[in-house]
Amino acid sequence: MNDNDNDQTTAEKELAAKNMRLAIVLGLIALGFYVGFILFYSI
Amino acid sequence: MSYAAVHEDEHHDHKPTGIGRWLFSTNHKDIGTMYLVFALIMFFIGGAMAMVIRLELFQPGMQYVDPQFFNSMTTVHALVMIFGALMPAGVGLANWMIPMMIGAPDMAFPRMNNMSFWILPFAFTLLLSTFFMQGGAPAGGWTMYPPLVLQLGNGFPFLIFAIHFLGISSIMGAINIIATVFNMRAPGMTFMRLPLFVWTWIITAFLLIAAMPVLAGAVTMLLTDKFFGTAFFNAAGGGDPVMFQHIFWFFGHPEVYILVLPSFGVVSQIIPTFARKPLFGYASMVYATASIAFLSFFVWAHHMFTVGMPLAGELFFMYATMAIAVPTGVKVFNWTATMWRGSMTFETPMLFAVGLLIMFTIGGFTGLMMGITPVDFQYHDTYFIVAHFHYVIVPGIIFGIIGGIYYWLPKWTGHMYDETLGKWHFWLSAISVNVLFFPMHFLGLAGMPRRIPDYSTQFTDWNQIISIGGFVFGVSQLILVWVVIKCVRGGEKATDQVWEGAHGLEFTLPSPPPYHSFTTPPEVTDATAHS
Repeated sequence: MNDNDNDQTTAEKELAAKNMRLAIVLGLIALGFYVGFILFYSI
Repeated sequence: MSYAAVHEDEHHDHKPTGIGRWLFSTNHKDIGTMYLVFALIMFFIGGAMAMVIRLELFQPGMQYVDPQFFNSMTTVHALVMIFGALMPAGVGLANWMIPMMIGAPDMAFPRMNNMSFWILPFAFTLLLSTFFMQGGAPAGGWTMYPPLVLQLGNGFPFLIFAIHFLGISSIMGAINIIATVFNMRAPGMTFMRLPLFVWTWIITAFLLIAAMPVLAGAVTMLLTDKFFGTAFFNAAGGGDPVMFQHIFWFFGHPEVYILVLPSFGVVSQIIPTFARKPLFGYASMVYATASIAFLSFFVWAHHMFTVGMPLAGELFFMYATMAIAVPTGVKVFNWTATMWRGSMTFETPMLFAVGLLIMFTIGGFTGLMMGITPVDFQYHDTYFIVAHFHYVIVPGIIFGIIGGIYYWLPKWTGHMYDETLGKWHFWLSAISVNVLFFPMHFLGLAGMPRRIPDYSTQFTDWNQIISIGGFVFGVSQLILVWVVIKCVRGGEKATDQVWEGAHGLEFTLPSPPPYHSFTTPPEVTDATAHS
């Protein structure tokens, strides 16, 4: 039963890491649109 | 049907209590409820502003408000409705339904979900507080064109920061939805088995990620022009006011698809249920929705045909605008084909869905008319435009949201809503909405400009009819509040499946579903998992 708990925790950790990676990528895309538009029209 | 559905053990279904349950919620169902309640409140606030507008426009001359306040009413009515009612309602439906539809226990980022919601009351406090400031509330139109918007008084930074916060809320919500659907689907729930509502929300979320930052950039540039000596939109400093329009509408056109795609998703759930037939052309519906989203980035300047663009630009945007009608037409045909030879019943959700199908199409036809550049020179900035966008928004987007509420209320509450009241709500709304918005086409063609507090006397008769339609429509929406309260309090017990023709993982859960559902993921084995 302890092994199952550890597996579930490992799976949860992997899911959290996957979610965070995706969130960072999407956040950078959003930031890119924000900064990009301002910079594009500043230059 | 062969879902290995898991019915959760309600003995372990502990809900937090008190105000903390709501302030600190990380539960997608509670957060969905908060979004929907907030949206309903904002709908009535925006609606009250519309009532002021229609009261003033009942007769020519100024009777009730001064012109500046009238202009604030039109401006803030739009901002509140778009950002405070329509978008939060869509996110509320998404929060409630997406995890249940894909077999996930909750959203990917439950705490960020909470923050996304609680930003909204804060942002709207900022916006609505401008009514009490020197210079008043924003009054230059929801599109905030410079230089007029820069002439707003002390409320200007509050407007800008409200927009920033709304954007942050939407972007965080979009990230949450994409991560949830990409990473947390139940085993066997492949992308092409997803319900259409989930598909339309994935696509809407990508639109939000791309478009909301552009709006944020545009209003940041307004802020720096006003306070930090830049001249992005000031010709005297080497800038261009028309450039704001380009940047704004690069956000603005995807924004209208952000508003409508969730309602399209709701319709794609409702029609197969009440036709008792699978959705016609599932794959083509997915591709059509993706095409609409892709094309939406290439049509923005159809909002600006009269600014003096080169002919090549005008032609490009005209052709692109006509092209975007094609995938939209595919969706309308597929919904119609779904009903063809179906075993149809017309409960309230179906009435709203069919109403959307017919009346959104009317709005779409006028959109196509406006997309023909030379003809738009007559329509632009007249009531013809006002008629068009209210047709696609009110009997389009709003009927979709309301249809979704009626469709899923029994699932959320465990009780059937009052069908008689629901039908009264539908018919009063459907008739009054046409009395309200159809004559606006005539006014526009006759030359009545938009955004005016007073008009020439020859426009009086239609304005009076429109105002009466508006008052009836506004009062009719109180029926929805009554239906929701009555349903929450009690009613005939709803089954798990709720509707005879309903399919989908959410209809394998009890009504109401446990506080935490699908803590053990279901195994999706049936190829017709989606409806």
